[in-house]
Amino acid sequence: MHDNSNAHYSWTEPGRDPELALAAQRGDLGALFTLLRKYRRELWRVCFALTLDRQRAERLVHDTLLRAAKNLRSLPTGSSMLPWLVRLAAHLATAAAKSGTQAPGAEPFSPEALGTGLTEMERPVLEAFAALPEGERLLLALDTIEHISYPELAVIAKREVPVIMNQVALIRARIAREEAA
Amino acid sequence: MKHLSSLQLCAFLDDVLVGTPDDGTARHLATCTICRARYETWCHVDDSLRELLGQDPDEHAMEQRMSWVQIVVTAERKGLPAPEFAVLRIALPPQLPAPPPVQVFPPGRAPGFADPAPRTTTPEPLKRPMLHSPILESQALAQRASASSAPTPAAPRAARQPAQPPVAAGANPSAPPPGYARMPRPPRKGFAAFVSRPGMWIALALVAVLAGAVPLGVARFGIPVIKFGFKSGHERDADVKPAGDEKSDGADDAEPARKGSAKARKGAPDDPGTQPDASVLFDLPALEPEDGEPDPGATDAAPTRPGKPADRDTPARSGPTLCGEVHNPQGQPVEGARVYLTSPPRMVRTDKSGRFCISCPQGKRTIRIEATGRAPVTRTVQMGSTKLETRFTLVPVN
Repeated sequence: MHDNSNAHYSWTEPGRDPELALAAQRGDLGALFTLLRKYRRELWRVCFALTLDRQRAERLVHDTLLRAAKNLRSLPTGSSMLPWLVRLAAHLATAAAKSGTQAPGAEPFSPEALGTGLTEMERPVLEAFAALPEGERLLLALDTIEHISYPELAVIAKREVPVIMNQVALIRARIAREEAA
Repeated sequence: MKHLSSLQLCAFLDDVLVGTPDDGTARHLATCTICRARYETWCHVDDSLRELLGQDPDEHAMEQRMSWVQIVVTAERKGLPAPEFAVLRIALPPQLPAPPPVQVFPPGRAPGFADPAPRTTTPEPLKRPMLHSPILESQALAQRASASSAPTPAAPRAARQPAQPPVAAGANPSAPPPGYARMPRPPRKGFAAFVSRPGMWIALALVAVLAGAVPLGVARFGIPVIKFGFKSGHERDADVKPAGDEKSDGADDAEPARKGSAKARKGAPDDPGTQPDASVLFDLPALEPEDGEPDPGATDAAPTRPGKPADRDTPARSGPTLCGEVHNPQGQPVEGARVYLTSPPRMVRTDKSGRFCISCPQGKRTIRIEATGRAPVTRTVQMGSTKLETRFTLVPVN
């Protein structure tokens, strides 16, 4: 169990995930709930980077977990569940952004919604980050905040490592350019 | 000066570069103000994102969501309608009052602390732990009962029950006396002791492994055939084929197979059942002729073994044979004299009576007789189609 969110560990290491997933597919609700609870903190941070809102992040977390519980059979055999959950959350966030559906009661993005005191230097960075598409936002958040290595990012995004490196560099350059402007 | 690319800068920022590229990028950043400004901007972006987005979830809200997910999944598995999240209310755990702050004082400085008076009572002596043996316990109880008939707090057990006799002399030895359960277990005997030994299980495991491995080995390699290289003299003599049994051509017809020769070492290819003798197995050298003589029959001559002129008077095969006797001037037979036939090259030795027989083709043949300490004799004979008898006299060398 990765309960310590501050500890850095491999996001792609399967661990007991395949065993729990197999038991959950056979109807073991305990194994299913163990699997869903296992990565809730990491999933929330990912959802927070995607939505930039705490409430919407919580909503996206449980939407993602419900979708995962229903479609557990599509989890790749023998792999960790976290990359699959991250892709699922990104897919749901992108679909929600395209359809324009928001959580009930949610407001449009504002930097103050993060709940932290923004400085004048942080505001343009956050606005530039919020202007990015969901996929690029997620990639930069995983690289910058979670410190995930390029090979693991390649596994999560299902891309080659050079492509990931190039994309992260382009995103950083874009944010830096907009922040400077 | 060529500036750093975004990819180089990104790799340097993520600490991916090692070795020379890392050092080169660091040196360039130390000298190039433009790239250094870009690098600082990127670092500022990263720090801001970590500061703004590196937050932790609200555990209570997350627990509510997780519980709701569990309820929805369980309801769907059971075919029930899923409740709405807004309806669900999970009670918070009761908030306990905060404990008063703990004040830490140095030793002896706490308010109201008084140093107690020094102890005047002597500490109790240490008691040796007593073994809970029924015999010892019964003896102690008997002593206590004799010392005081009234029950005392020190001996409550003696007051409750009389002293138990020893087990060996008891009326009911099968009933366990008090305290028996604390006694060490008696050593196991018989089959139980045999079974409780770990060495026996290890031996059984080894036997089981061997019992499984031997059939596997036999199935894989077959039953091993142990071949002993040593043969008795009788068996070695039986290996030497008689001259007439050789199925070869020319001059080899009358020659027995030599032990250790190349032919014998190869074995008869036509006879796969031929078993090599010890000299073949251990690659022993061939028998050398006596007196250090060079082997004249290296190609096709087969010297007769000394002391075994078995077929001196018996021709090896039907055909012309040259036989004879070798004597000294006094008429005594010369044993072991070497009889050489030059063409084809053959050699035999004389027996105890000085006689020899050698197969000799028809025509003019040269015979040479040699013996140690005697002058050699050479003679040319005309061989016909039958047996020819000759006599030789060897004169000693002065």
